[in-house]
Amino acid sequence: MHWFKGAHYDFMTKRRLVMLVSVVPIVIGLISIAVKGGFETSIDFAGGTLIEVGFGEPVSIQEIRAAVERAGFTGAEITNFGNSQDVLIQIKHIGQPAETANRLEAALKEQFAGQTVDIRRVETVGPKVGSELKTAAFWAVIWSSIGIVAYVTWRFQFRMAIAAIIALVHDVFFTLGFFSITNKEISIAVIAAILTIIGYSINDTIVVFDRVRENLQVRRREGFMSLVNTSVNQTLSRTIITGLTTILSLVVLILVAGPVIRDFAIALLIGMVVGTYSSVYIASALLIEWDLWRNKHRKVA
Amino acid sequence: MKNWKHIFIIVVILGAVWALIPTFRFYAKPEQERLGMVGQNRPKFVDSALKLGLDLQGGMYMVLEIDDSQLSDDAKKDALDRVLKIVRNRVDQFGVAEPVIQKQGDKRIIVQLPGLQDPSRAKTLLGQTALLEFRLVRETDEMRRAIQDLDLALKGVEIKGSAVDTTGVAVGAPGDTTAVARAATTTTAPETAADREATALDSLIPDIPGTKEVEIPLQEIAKDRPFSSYLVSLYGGAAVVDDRHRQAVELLLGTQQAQRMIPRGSEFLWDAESRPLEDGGVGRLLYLVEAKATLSGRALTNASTQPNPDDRSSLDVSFQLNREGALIFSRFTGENIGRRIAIVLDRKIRSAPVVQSKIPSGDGRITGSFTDEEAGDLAIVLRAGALPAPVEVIEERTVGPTLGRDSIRSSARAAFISIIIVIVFMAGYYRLSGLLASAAMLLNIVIIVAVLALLGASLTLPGIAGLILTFGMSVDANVLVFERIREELAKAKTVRSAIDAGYHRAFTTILDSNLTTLITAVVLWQFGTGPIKGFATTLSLGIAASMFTAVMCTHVVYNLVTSRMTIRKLSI
Repeated sequence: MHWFKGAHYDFMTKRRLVMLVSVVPIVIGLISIAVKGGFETSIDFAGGTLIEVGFGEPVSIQEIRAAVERAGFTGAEITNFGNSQDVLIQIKHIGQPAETANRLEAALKEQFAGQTVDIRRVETVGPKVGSELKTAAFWAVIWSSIGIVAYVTWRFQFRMAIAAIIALVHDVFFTLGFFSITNKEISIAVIAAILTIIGYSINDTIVVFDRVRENLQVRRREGFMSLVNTSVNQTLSRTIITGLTTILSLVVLILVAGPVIRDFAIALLIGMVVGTYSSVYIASALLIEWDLWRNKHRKVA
Repeated sequence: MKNWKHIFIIVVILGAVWALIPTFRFYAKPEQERLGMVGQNRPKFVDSALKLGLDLQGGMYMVLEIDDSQLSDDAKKDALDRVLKIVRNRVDQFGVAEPVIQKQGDKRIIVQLPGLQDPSRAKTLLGQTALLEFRLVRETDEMRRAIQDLDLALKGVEIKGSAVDTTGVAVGAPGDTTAVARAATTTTAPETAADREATALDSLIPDIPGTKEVEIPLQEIAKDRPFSSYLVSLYGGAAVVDDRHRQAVELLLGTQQAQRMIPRGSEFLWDAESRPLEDGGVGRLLYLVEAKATLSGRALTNASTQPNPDDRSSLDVSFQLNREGALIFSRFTGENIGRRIAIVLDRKIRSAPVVQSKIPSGDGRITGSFTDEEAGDLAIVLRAGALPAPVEVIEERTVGPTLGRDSIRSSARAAFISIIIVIVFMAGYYRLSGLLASAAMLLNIVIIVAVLALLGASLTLPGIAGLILTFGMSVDANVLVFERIREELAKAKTVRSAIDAGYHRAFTTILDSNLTTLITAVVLWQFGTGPIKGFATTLSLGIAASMFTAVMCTHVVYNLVTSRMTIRKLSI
């Protein structure tokens, strides 16, 4: 089997139109983030307590809410988790979460005395830890970006590093925008996914740039735009095959591996798809724009 | 010279298999037997088996932070080490298999307790300061004076917040001051001294029926007195506060005006438990005690549980002081016959018996309606010693055993399905070469798991996610190589030279793309807390191992095959 054998699609002529289109979801995402004043953050960042409870029989959310409120907590988020017997209770932004879990547990056991109440998971994060994690997450993104720029500049060219980073920022913002629009929470796992996306996005871009670097040496007579287009075509088969195996693995993870890591896998899936796309239409396209811009200025000078 | 690669590959594979033998031996056993393999008598190989993370086997992860703001600079230095030792001591006595207790930074301690059944109990046990003190209780006159001073000082002071239950004030108002604090009689449990050995602290409780001595209705206190109107009565030098007004009293005492009025060298401390009041309500005693402790729990040599002589269903905790402590205590009791001594644990008064006579022995007892568990835990923390500074649980993650079991099952299934899909896909697209890449991927998994076992790291749920992600990334190296080989073959090269050229030209691509991914994996590891670290570890290992399995191993296999036979058409 050999797909895309001798492929020679014209990716680059319409690059400006496609880039313009790519900007749309990013802008929508940014507007959503701005309107909502930031993200829904999980207790990892907001601080608070999360309890996952497995009941012997299906229970109504109202009953649980009653018990939670009797324990003195208002404004808890109560949702089914996976199935109707499994419930996730989250109480965020509380000053002193240490005792919350114990009180909740006692209240639930009292309310549902007739059936099994299995405390499957308890997570408590103090407000200080939450804000520290926010800072750490921010710096993690910054440091990995710096590391990548340094590496790509060293091994390739500075303009390639910048193009790669812009592609990467595109992928990150696309994913963040998706989380904002769908009101999904940003947790530590999602941050981990975003950092992995950074790694993958750059990985994918590097493969294309590597071909560009190689072709710059053997196909000197070819125009730069055509050269980039050829490089994209030459690596197309690999891009699709690797993309497909990774995406299939992730789909399995989303469908089978249970709700605990589902958001993590969803973030990864989105990032991988966008990351594959951005290698071509953001990173490579920007490389061409940079080249055109420089040529124009050289002529003027 | 080319043989070094073969030897290297064989050594790595054998090494990986060898490293996994204990893991196979351990997990081949039925669960019941595995659970029994803990503690001192466990077989040696258990230690070398791959451990499961808390999220898979169930357990508790806790981060404790020391509040050293009250410590001197000198004490701050070794506070963390002392807390670490005491926490370890407590965990050991609590009895958890393979606990992990380590420092994080200079103020925090991470505690991991695998397989823990009762997280709230562990939290109480480890988070407790367990500072035991003996303090002299101020006499009734002093208390009365302090209350009057507070009334004056707090006139016109408003306490903020909805916490004050104003509707309840009437209950505690002078109108029903006849309410006698029966609560107090439970706390200090009047009984005859003859019942006990004269040396035990508990036996020093007054002969005189408590009510006679202490029933002092606060009639003289006017309704407009801001502080005293929250009090029910005075009892044995302590004020009785209805539970409904406790928050109000606390807020009032917290105000600057009140703080200035509290007599020098004294402070207010609450009783540890609320008791029923005679009027049907529930109340708690508020004591005025000496701010400086006469003796602290450091002078303790032993603590154990004892049946409560009055109530067979509950336990007391008895303790012994060391010689020096006993001496101080003996002198102290001799000087204060007839007065009350408060036994204070973590700034809560456990009991406040009256000293009947000088006590030379240094034996004491903490009463209270403890359950077996509570009494046992209190004895543990007293034996392990008090923490030099209070700690706070700032992060807690507990996974119950059922969720852990579910997670193992579903993630194992996800991994299995992913492997099958990747193999089918690769074999379908690259034929025999695809199967070779799949074999390399499986070897990659074996190596990752083996290295985890060797490092003593544990496999976590995010770790499995990292592993599954590695499947996709690991075949990427082979995809790059195969695509290159196909290109070379298209140039009508021989199979042999096409393979070599393919590997040669794909190598820099693989190296560059893997290294950039590794950069983020390392940053992720650096930034991450427990669960994220697991993900970053398997991801980094997977990237590194793929350079070996997908590049070196598959190349050697091609070379072996092409050197033995002439292949006209490569299955790729």
